[in-house]
Amino acid sequence: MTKAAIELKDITKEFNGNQVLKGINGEIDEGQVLAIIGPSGSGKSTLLRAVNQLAAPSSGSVVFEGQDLTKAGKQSLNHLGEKIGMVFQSFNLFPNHTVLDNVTLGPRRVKKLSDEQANQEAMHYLKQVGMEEKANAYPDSLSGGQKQRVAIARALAMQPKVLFFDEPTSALDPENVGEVLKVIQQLASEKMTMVIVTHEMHFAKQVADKIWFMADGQIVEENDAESLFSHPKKEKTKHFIKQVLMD
Amino acid sequence: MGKTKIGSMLAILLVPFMMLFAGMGTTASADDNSLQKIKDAGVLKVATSPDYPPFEFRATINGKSEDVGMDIEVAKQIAKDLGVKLKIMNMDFGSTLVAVQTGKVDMAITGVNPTEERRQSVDFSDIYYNGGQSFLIQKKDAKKYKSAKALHGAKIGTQTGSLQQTLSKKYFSDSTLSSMEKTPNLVFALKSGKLDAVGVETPVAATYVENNKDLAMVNAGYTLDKNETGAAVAFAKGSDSLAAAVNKSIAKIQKHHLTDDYLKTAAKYMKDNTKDTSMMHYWKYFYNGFLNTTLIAVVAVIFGILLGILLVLMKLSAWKVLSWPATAYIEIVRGTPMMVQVLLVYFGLGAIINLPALLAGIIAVALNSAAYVAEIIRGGINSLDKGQKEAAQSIGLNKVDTMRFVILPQAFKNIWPSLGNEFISVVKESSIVSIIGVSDLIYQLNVVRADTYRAVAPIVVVMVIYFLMTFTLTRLLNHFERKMNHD
Repeated sequence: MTKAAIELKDITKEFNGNQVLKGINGEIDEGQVLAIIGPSGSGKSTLLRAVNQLAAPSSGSVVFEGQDLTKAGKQSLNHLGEKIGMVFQSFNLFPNHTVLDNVTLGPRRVKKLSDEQANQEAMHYLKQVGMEEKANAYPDSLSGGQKQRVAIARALAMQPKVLFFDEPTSALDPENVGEVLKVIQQLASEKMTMVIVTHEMHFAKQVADKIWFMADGQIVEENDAESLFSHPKKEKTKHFIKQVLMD
Repeated sequence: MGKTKIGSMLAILLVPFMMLFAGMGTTASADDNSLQKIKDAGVLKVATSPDYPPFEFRATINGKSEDVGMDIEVAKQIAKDLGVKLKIMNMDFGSTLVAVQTGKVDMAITGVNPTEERRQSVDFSDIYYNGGQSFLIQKKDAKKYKSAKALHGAKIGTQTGSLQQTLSKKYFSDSTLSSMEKTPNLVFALKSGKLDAVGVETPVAATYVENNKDLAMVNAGYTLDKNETGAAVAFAKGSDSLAAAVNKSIAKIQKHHLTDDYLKTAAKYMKDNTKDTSMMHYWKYFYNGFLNTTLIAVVAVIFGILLGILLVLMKLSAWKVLSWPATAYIEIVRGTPMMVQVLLVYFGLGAIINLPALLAGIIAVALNSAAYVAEIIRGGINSLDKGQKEAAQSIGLNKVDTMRFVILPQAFKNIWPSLGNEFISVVKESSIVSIIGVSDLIYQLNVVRADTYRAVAPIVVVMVIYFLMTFTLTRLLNHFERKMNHD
């Protein structure tokens, strides 16, 4: 059986008395791809942020490498960034640094690599996402798809155990979506542990080992991709899949 | 004497606070060591405001700009009699009495008349000179205003807060009275016909007449108590031993009629000053002013930024022990006039440690600018997308690195135009340090106007210099802005 990289236990999240997450339990398996789908406002992105502590959960625990992150001190939370990578919907590249510097900043400052070694590794990851030729460009001059690929290289450069994607293609022009999905697919084939919040149903079906369908702050249904799309059990899931696949 | 400026009200407000600040008070005469202290130090520190010829003004002697005038001669005589060296400290007139009260100087000799009001806060020596009161008029009006009586109903100008102002209110209530801060401005108003007469000290009137062929003077004809109109030396309260020693020197001056000689010497220097009143001739004054203004602005901006960054980091901190003092500091600095801050640093902080005026000025301007810079930076940080901080966090950067490599560089780029405005205003606003005697451009402007009796030309010169400075700065800032906008 697969081993759990991250375990979620009864996670809740409240914003101003509004319960956005209503008790999430589940496991993120090592070497596998978990896709989280569901209607807007179902709490998918909030869950991702609760897990990697960008917005700590109101209650519950997140067990990663035997440690409960919700009870971890600041020191170990800083190291979390090294181990759980994050790719954002709006890329969040640092516009004041070149593509190369965006990728090397973490390795240089956090992993304390020498400039030379950081550059060398960064070029490796940039090549992996097909952006090595833009190493000296500034983010402003790149297309959305190029930016997102650089953002992926930046996350990979920290050699994370797990990589989170928060709607990585939602801010892209349609013609740029393919290049980003291709990179993610490549990572999946290399057995990178990933959690992807996405609206790209075909992609989710194709790349994910496991899918969580979320609605209203809860996991409504969990299954392997094929079963969930072909034979949804719950009424809500059926309704959602029917609706999105019609579009 | 005619010299009172903004300072007197401020002095009344500030001095008790400064005393508290400095943990010092004027000691009772029982343990009066005022004289002994000067003898021990071997230096007599005298405050003066050299923009009031013939009492005190600046002249170029052997290529060097020095303080000269009757009061300087009096100071020299006192120092000689005490057997100590003399150190003249220049500052705005309003600051001289504050300097006496806070112990920054041993005495003020700057044409001060010992009014009852001033006696509340300082002690005075005997009167060393009494020149009487006169009116300056235009020469072409000399027939019309043969005596002061003819000035009833005319337009009379006096220096703000001066004895002349009080007297004109009393004796010429039927005339149109107005006041200005500086005598050269009054004289200019007289020459351009806005005023019919300007009330000044007789020797001041005499020197103006001597140096302006369009001017004439008439005696004011007041009957006055000599004690209220003469010039005296001011000391801190309770300086009885010092006062006794100074009175001895003054008795000597009176006996030998030395003030007549002093005035003659002063007249000679004034002649020298007015021989060539072209602005080129005074280039060195402006040049020195330019250097000082530049020094103050550059150092204040650098430390203002460093301190501003520190303040904003404190203010944004989650710890109240850090954020609260930063917020309080910023609010207080922004909510009080820079002039008060300059005075407080010079006299308040200066009472604890010995601060030269220039250093005090730089500190005050830097402390002031830091508050504004902090708020500008805070605005820049708040304007950044939250995602930047999250992205930094997601690759494990700690808070310091996040600020240093991600947040601050972007914030600075965004706020560059506002920061530029702040730098330019530091250059201009730093002129306020002239009140504590820092010889910046404004200070030199007043000196040159007093020396040359020219009202407008020096202003134009200084305006051009300020403009060239800020214009150069603007070009420099634009250059860096373009550099930051890569691609």
